[in-house]
Parts: sequence; C-alpha cells; structure tokens
Amino acid sequence: MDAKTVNRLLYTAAALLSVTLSAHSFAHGADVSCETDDSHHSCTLELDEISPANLSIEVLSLDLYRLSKTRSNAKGEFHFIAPKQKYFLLIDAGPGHVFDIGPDSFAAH
Amino acid sequence: MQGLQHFFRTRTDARRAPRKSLSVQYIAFLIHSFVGLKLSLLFTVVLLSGALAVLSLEIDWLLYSEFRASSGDVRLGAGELLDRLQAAYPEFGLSFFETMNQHPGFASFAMFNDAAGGFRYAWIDPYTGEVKGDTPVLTPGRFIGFLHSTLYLPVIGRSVVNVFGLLTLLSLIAGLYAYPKFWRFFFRMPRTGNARVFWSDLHKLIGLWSLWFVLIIGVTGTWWFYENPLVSHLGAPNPVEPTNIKPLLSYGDMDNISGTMLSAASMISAVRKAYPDAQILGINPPEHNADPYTVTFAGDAWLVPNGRQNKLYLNPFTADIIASHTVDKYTPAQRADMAMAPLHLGNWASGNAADLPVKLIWFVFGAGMTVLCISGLIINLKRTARAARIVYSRNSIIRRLHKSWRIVRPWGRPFGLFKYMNVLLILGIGAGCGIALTLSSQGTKGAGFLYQPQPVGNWEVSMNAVAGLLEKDLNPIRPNASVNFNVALPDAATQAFKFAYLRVGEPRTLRAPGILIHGPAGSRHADIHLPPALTGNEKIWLTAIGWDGQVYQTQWSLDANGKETIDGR
Repeated sequence: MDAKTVNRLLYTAAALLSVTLSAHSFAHGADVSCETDDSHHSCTLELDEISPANLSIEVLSLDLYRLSKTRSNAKGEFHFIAPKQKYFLLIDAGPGHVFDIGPDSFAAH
Repeated sequence: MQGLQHFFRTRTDARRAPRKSLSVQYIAFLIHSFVGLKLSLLFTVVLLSGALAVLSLEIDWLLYSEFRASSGDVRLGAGELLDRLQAAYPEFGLSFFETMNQHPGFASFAMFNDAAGGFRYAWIDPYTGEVKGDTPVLTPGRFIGFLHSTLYLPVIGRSVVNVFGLLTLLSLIAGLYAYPKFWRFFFRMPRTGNARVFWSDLHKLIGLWSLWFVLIIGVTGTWWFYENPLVSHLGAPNPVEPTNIKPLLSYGDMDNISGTMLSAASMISAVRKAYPDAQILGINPPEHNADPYTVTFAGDAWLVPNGRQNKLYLNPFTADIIASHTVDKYTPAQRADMAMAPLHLGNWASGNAADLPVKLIWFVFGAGMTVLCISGLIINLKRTARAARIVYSRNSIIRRLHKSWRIVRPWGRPFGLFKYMNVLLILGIGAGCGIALTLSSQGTKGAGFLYQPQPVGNWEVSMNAVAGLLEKDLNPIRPNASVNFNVALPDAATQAFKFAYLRVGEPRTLRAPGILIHGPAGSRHADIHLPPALTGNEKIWLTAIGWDGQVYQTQWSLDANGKETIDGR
C-alpha cells in the first residue's frame, strides 16, 4: 500500500460519508404507515409531540358504524383487518387529539 | 521555453520517482492531513464559531442592557415574574420562560411572537420585577451559537457539523500516531528560524496541550454524529431510549374543570409544596386546554443541560401535578446523552462561581483548536509553495499561469477534490445566515392566502395560510403540501371554546373535528397536511366545541376565490 492508495481510500470514505448525509429522508405528512398482506394491515403510528403508545384505534364505516377496535403497542404499532366496505381509522390520542385517517392517507412502509 | 522544458522534465521525473514506502506513522500523517485539510475552510468556521459560542450569553449580556439584572439578594418568585411579564404583554402569549436562576447577573426572559409574527424575547429584572423591554431572538451571541450548531444550512446543517466531531476524533488519533514519542515535546518551544518550521512546531505544541480538550470535543461530536445522521436519518440502532413525551390532560381531568386557567404563580406554589428546595429554571405555559404547564427545575444531578432537567407537568386549571420526568429516573444511556452538551459547550459549571472561569478555559482551548486548523493549512501551503517555487522559479509567465490555474482548478492541495465543496458550503452558510436574520425579524401573519372574517358564534374569526417561513410567496394550497394556518381568534372566543379545530372538508364525525388550533395568544395556528389530490372546490372547516358542549362551525373556500378567500401574495 502506498500514499496514493491511502489517499484513494480516504476519498472513498469521504464519498461514503457524503452519501450518508445526502440520504436524509424528508419528513412527510403521513401519520400512519402500513404493510398490507391481503386484508391484514400491520401499521405504525407516528404523532407530533404525543406518544403513539397504547392508544385506542377504531375502524369505522363511513356511516360511523364501528367495525372493529384495536390498540397500538408501546412502539405505536397496531394491526387490523381491512373491511370490504369503505372505512377510516379513528385514533384517540387524548382530549383534543382524535384523528380520522382514511386508507388513502396510509403510507407504505 | 527553457522553463517550460524544465517544468515538464520535473513532472516526468516526479512520476518516475520511487514511491515512498509507508509506515504506520506516515499513513497516520496522511489521514491526519486529509481530515484536517480537505474541508479546512468549513472546519475553521465550525471551530471559531464554537469557541465564540461558549461565551454567547456573555457576549449578549455586554451588548444588550435588557439582558442585565440589577444586583440583589432576593429574587421574586418564578411564577410571579412570568405573570408580571405576561401582564406587560397582554396581546401576546409568552412561552419558554427562563428564570436564569443559575446566572445571577442576568434578567429572566420569555419568547413571544410580535404583531407580524416575528420572534422576540421579553425581559424582566428578577430582583425588582421591572420589565426591561424586548430584544430580537437572533442576538449576536445566539446567532453565533446557531451558526456553530447548524451552519444555517437547511436540512443537512446539523449533520454536516457533526461530521466535524468525527473528523476531530480521527485527526486526534492519527495525529498522535504521526508524532512519534509526542510526550517528550510538551515543553519544547517552537523554533523561530523558518516560518514553516515555526508553524509546524506551534501546531504540535498547541495540539499536545489541547489533547484533553480535543478528546472531549471529538468524543461528544462523534456521539452526535452517530445520533445525526446515522440514527435520525439512516435508521442505525439507537442505544439511547426515547425521551419522555409531555402528557396531555386526561378525559377525566377535562371533565372536572371550568374554562379559566390559573396563574403561573399558582403553579409554582404547587411545585414548592412537593419540592420545597427546587431551583426553578423554566416555565412553559399551555398552548391549548389539554396541555399542562411544564415547570423545569434543577436538582443535584451533574452534567445535565437546562433543557433536559427535571420536569413537572401541572394541570393548568387545578395546579395538580399530573406527571413528572425527573433526572434520577433516566437510564444510564440517557444520562450519558445528556452529559454531552455541557461537556461540549463548557457550561457544566452553571450555577456556581466556576461558571465563567470554565467557560473561559473552553473558549481559550476552542480558539486553540481553531489555530490548529489554520496552522495546519499554513504548514501545507508553505510546504507545497516551497516545492512549487523551486520548480517554477525560472519563468515568470509560467509561474503566473500556474498560480492562477492552481487557484481555479477543482482539485489540488490542500483541499484536493473538496475545493469547490468548501466554497459552496461557505456560500450556503452566507445565504443561510441572511435568510435566518430575515426570518427571525419577520413572521407569516398576513401573508399568503387570506381567509376573511367569518362569524363563529358571537365572534369573528379570520385566518391566513402560508406554505412556510421561507415560502411566503408560494401558493400555499397545493396537493400533498403542508400548510400553516395562522388563526386570529378573539380572546373571548378562546375563553368560550374548549377546543377549536381546522379540517379540509366537513368533519366525518364530531369526535374527530380536525387538527387542533393551538399556540400562545397572538400566534394560534394549525398545521394541515393537504390531500394528495385537490379539485379546487374544497372547503376548510373550522369547528369549535364550547365548554358547554355547544358546537360552532364555519367554512371558507380552501383555494383563493376572490370572495371569502383572497390571494394576498
């Protein structure tokens, strides 16, 4: 190994570092991101300045009939079976912080 | 012509010259030179601003009379100070009140948004209770502090700064390897016969005496580099457990209260009952009716930055403590994470007589690190300049041409391929500084789309929407965009409403009326994420729920229609 090789290695390391920095992912507006396996949804909930842990999540039809109910775990993850009809999620994070989110707003993992 | 022949002959000879064999020391020297030189312009900005940032508070104290407190022994209560300051600014809700208890010569202060929406600090003397006026947020000291931590580069600023933490640590380790038996040279004065030798000796001497300091800066900076960008942007495993999140009042709490919040003084009285010796550092009033007061106080724990001290959360209607996050409950990893800031910034002695001496030591060694960076650059320039002088001394035209070429070509020592990156980043910092100075004095009120006053119950409500602080001239209503709505709610309405919300489209159910409007008086707002597709016919709905359960609703056209929604750009 000579000085040129060392220099090349250092440049390579610097290039990797710059890739690391440029790989920044921008924040987006989606609060719920899901992986879907047929009708089974595995989702992660993210909320601004509020803990997503242990929250009540209802699956409601558009005429407000409750189809199912679940809870997020300590990491804000939850699962539900998507109904055949049109639906939305009602996420209760506390007073003043109840969110309705339709499947068109889910982001993929 | 002779000079030209000599030039090419020398270059050819140089190519044929046998390569220098590598020892560990030489490799270490190459690494040390590489990390120290390639981004040395930017490195110098980070180091110099860091050295000055240690004394940012003191710089502002010297420049602004509002920062200075009268001398006295007895301070007014923290809650009383905030209440007095708030009474002096009735139109603007104060937030992030800091007592400056640990800095006896300083006034207490809180932040507010002025009539245009710009950020300012209001100051009060903690001994006399005299309101001293207000200052911009970006004072020279704070400007330097933000420059050091972000370089005013959007998105990547903190990551870029943190890279220099890693480079510092690498440079330290490689520098020690490159300097055989360095421990023998602590007391060797720089030789003065030759400029390059002098700078080289000075570089080594400062480096040796700064070892402990460079190690602290390198380790803390590398820790933050791991956190940002590796953990925050690239999903590296985070050994530090997430920080505790401020709780909301419970539904049970909300059922048993009326619509009048208690004063800050009442909160502090309640804290004093539970923690008689608490040294109150800060109070943050609620931003909506389910938001608790946050009271921060110092305990006995060492190496804890003010912003992460013990926190109590109090019901603003009853002064009951609903939750606490105290330092003694943090995990070892969280405590280690907390310790990084005071160690890096040199403010770990806040609250005792050693505060200023410690800061001065940090400043001196920070300035020393800046000299290390600059002297390394000088040594390299002198070394390469001497070689170039020998080669090109015979022909003045070639010398001039070559000098010019060396300046403009996008490679070559000492910056190598990083030459233009240095220049671009410095230009970016300059632009970022200009934007930051403008934004700190301007707000977004009255900009973008203007939603004309509409009756809501007995009151009139108006709003304006902007795409962001930097995007006031952009159309704020775009598919999938985030929009900030500033909502002008009369005080009487905020008293009558338990909660008020904004939503694109009529709420599906009153259980979820939209995004909560929140913020201090005078700067209430809601951040809405717009749907991925817009037809142009959407309405933005405001729904308010009164304390008595009454529902108030109104709506505007989301897009500008020249009637109730006007494009004010």
